[in-house]
Amino acid sequence: MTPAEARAAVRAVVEAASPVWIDPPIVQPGALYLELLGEDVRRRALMLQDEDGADLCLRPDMTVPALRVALAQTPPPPPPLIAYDGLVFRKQASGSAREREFVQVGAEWIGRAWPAAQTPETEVVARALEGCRAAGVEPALTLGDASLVGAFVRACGVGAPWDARVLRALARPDGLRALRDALAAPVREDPMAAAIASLPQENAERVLTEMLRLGGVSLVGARSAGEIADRVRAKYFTDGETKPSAAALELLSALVAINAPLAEGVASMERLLDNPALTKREEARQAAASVAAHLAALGEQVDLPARTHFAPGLMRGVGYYDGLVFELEAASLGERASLGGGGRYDALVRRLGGEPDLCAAGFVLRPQRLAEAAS
Amino acid sequence: MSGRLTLAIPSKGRLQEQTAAFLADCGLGLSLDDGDRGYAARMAAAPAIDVRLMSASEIAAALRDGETHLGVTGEDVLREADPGLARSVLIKPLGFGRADLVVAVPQAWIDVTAMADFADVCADFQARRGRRLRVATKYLRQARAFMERHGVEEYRLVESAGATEGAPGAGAADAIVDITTTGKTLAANGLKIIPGGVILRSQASLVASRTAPWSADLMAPLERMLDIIEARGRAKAMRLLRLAPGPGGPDLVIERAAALGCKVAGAAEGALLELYCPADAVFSVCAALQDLLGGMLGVFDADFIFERPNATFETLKDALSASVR
Repeated sequence: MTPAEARAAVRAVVEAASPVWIDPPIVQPGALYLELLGEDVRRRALMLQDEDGADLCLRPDMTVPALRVALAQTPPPPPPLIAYDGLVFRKQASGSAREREFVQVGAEWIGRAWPAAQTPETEVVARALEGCRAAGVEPALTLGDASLVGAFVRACGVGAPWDARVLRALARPDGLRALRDALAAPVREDPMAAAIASLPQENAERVLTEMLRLGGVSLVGARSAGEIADRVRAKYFTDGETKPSAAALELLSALVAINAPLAEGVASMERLLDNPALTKREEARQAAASVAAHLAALGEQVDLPARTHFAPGLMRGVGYYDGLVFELEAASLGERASLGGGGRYDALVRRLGGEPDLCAAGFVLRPQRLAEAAS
Repeated sequence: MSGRLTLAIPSKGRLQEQTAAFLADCGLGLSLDDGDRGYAARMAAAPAIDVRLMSASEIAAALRDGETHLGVTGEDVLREADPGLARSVLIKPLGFGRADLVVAVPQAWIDVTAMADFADVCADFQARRGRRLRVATKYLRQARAFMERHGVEEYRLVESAGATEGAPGAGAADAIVDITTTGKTLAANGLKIIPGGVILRSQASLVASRTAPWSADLMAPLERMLDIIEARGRAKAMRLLRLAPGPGGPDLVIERAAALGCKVAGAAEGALLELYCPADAVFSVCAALQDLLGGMLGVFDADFIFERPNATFETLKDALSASVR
């Protein structure tokens, strides 16, 4: 199968769902990407500069540009299903075997406060698999759920600011070791902070402002004295109680390390529920039961590949998924094994669309790699 | 460029003065070639080397791109041009041009006492205000790598052209990544270094390019130059002791001196014994030897102390082995 044939085959599978096709601009505003996805974009996307120095980028994926077009459409609501088929561009190290430009074909389902019975994840996974198979590839599928790790963190009794720190640490290689170092490091607080923290909230901001004035410290930057005072108080009152225990970190690293055939992986997750580090066990139980039910339903309704794994730590390299997340791979392609993937990303579409009840899920495939894997 | 070894040195400012002074101190004084309008120079003591004068950041780029064999530049600009030092080799730090590359935030942020706090503040700000805190810097790559290492995600880099430390005061940024020597300029702009926020302790360094056209016949002038630089450095770090070995013969003295960190320069039969002694231990060594021998003991400064094999050269030669054609 040629890349063009694979592209047509995937396109036909998407077309069968009757989407609205969208052809977004190749050149995108860099500032928007930096705001949405962070500085990591500079490493992934080819950045350009406009005449006046404004950041631009060649679209590094199709999801965000296509959603922008769909959400800008008047009058709302946006179409419930959009699709795209076009080139995306990525920065690579010189000499890398990875592609600098490649075609993405995919679809995104957009809705509002999806009722539990109508969430489209099953169809998203089914269509993505159908696309692979239409191109002659039986992929390996890895399933995860981005909400699960967060629920386990909370169930370990870890609260602000440590919950976010633990999640960040779990998401990056060697992050846990750095976190253990941070936990062991002696706390060196600013002497002013103790005084501020002991005040009632309504006085804290005023006293901090006065202390800064007396100390000759000018308040530069966008954070207000009120925000600083609030965080000083929050840090003082919660720091000790919300720190993760060594046992909790052990449990969480075991959770994100799971990557096993579906039934075995789910059983591994369920075995962790007996761990004594889960001081709020019920929260973890509910999250695990919901994920297990989701996966079971998926197994009943979709013809899953023989090689289907469950990996609760799966992130797909972008931070924006917040529910189901999945990756499709062809092991024969080595470091370029990924054929595509997708998941649920409500928070991203809400930030793009500015509506608090928007929901979205979708998938994307890479026809050129599919053709390569099929031959 | 074949057949000639090239050395790029800073062409302006304090770094130029300090580099010229360093070379002159090594006996490698520069004479400017008038014909080249001050962009080229020679060292009378090392005629096989062409010296070029460039700005520090041009030198870092030239080392990365193989346009010069050797260069003197700040490690901060070098690491920005060549992340991970894939294309260049740090030969040795030169002890001047010191500056720290740091993350600095407003002094008023009394809740930020570690990089983990900065990561929290960035995440909080994004969640509350729906936009990211801005970090102004000229050192985009090193800033990004450091933030990533510390789990800082919800921020934006703003490339600064001029005085970075003024960006928060001007409302163009909320924090900065910049070089500082004393921290006074930061403080004057209402900023403080985050504890644990030092990205790099930089100084001017002698650097070799892996990608320059190296050939076997350049090794001799390279070794000669490094011999001179190392010999001068060693002479500053050591004193020459001259003493009579006493009736017990030289062996006892040599053994005692070696245990105290000294090296033997020469011990001919019946002659004075010459020892090289670490400068910072000279008086304790003298006392120990005097206790052993009595008599008289002279302490001298050396201008140069050469030593082969030259470990600095041998290490560099190994590092360049893949580059020599």
